[in-house]
Amino acid sequence: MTTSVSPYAFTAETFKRVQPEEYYRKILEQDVRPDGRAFDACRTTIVNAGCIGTAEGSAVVRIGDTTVVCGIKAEVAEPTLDQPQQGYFVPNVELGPLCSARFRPGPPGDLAQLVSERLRSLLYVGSSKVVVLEDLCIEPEQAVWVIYADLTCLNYDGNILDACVLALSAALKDTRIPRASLDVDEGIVRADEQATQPLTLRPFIFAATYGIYEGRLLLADPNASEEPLMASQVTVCLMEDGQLAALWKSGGGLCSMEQVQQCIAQARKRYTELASLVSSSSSN
Amino acid sequence: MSGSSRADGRTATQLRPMSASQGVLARADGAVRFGFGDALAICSVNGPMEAKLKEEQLDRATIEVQYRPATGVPGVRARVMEAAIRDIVEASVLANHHPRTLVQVTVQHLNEAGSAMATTLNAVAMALLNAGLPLRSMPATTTCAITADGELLIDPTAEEEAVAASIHTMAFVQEQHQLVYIESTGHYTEEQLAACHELCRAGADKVYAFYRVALEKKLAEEGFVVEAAA
Repeated sequence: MTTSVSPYAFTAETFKRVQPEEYYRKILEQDVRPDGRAFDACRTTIVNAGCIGTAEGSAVVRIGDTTVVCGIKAEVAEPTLDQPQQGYFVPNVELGPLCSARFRPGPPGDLAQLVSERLRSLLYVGSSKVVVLEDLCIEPEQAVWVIYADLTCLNYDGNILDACVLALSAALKDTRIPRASLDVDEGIVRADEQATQPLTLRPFIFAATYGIYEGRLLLADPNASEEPLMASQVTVCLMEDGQLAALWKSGGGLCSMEQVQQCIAQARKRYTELASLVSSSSSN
Repeated sequence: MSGSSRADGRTATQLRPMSASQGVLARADGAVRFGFGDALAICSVNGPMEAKLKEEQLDRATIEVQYRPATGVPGVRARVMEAAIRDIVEASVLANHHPRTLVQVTVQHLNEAGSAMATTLNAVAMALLNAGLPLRSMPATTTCAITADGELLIDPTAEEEAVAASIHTMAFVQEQHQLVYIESTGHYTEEQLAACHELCRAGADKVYAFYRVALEKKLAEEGFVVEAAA
């Protein structure tokens, strides 16, 4: 009970918990973010590819405290009737209670499903498919590869979509699948574990997310405590050729097309950073 | 752009004819069936009503969204749709005017014939108005597709979407044409995105005009005298 702090004085930590919006507003007025970053600065990003020996490909990505592990597994399956020459690609994102108290155990929640679907749409819609599905064919109408990409979040501190896209890109680049052929007599697929080959990949996709604070400030790479305060979030997915692979604006807030274009311009800078991170992570 | 080559005879900038039936469900506070041609969705809105204790929020209304596709069980695509519906509702409903209540939005897709998200989101906007909730805006949504040859087509049908290089859905509020929602996937340049934005914005203006006509018609049927727009 003998404390020198008067009972009416707030510490910064208490203020943040009691009035998060006011706390952020006060700090952002000083042109800085609570964790000391500039508005356009992303958190320290680390990519470590090929860290899981039992998977066909893998990567661990950290963006600040957000940590995502991606493992790629290849299995043989029958192709669909309407696409007899194409394999499948199945991304799955897991956000369990391990990574944050906001997630419950059990079947994937809304956010996990949303991120999974967005990853899937990056790979399936239009001509931007990252994995060339025709190259996953072992024998037309008989056997194809199914590529399972399992992404598990170990630590949730916001901007999960960027972390997942980065982990997936790095893991796919690290992936080698065995050379396989169909033994017609026995009707089984034989795979040579020694002779592996990399996946045929189209240009890489990286994502950059921006929060729009009070409809005017653009905050790059928002963390978990910033995310609920952003009325809008814009995610830009860019490809190697400078074209866009996806753009999502979500949240009930409003934004102008100029702000979206600003996000794209900032994302281009972020792209070169991420591309060099991934290429250096897989060389060792 | 040269003469249209679209299968249904529309030009590249022409929306399918819009349709709306308001107050179609007797027990809901608001219900609207909205359609772009064959693409139809029905949305019902209930609220503000009593919220369950654990869902109650002290400073605002809780928004509950459910989406069901026309066929099959709701999958991950339904979750994306629900997230988009939530964005539209958040942007329009004055949630902090109704603290500790629940607003329930349910959408059943009736026929999926392309531009599924735009059809859904417009049904939601009209149903919110039909429920008599105080709104700050009524977002209007349109979809456009870029074909493999780089041609922009507004309000694509399912067949046009299947072969498109990219698909762009944008929701606007009328005020300065600010954006509420964008979903834009495929493979496209920044210039193409800007062109899609122009096209979708022009389309959204037509959707607003439709909202207006539909509301005026309904008010006239109910015996209100509608003054001519300034």
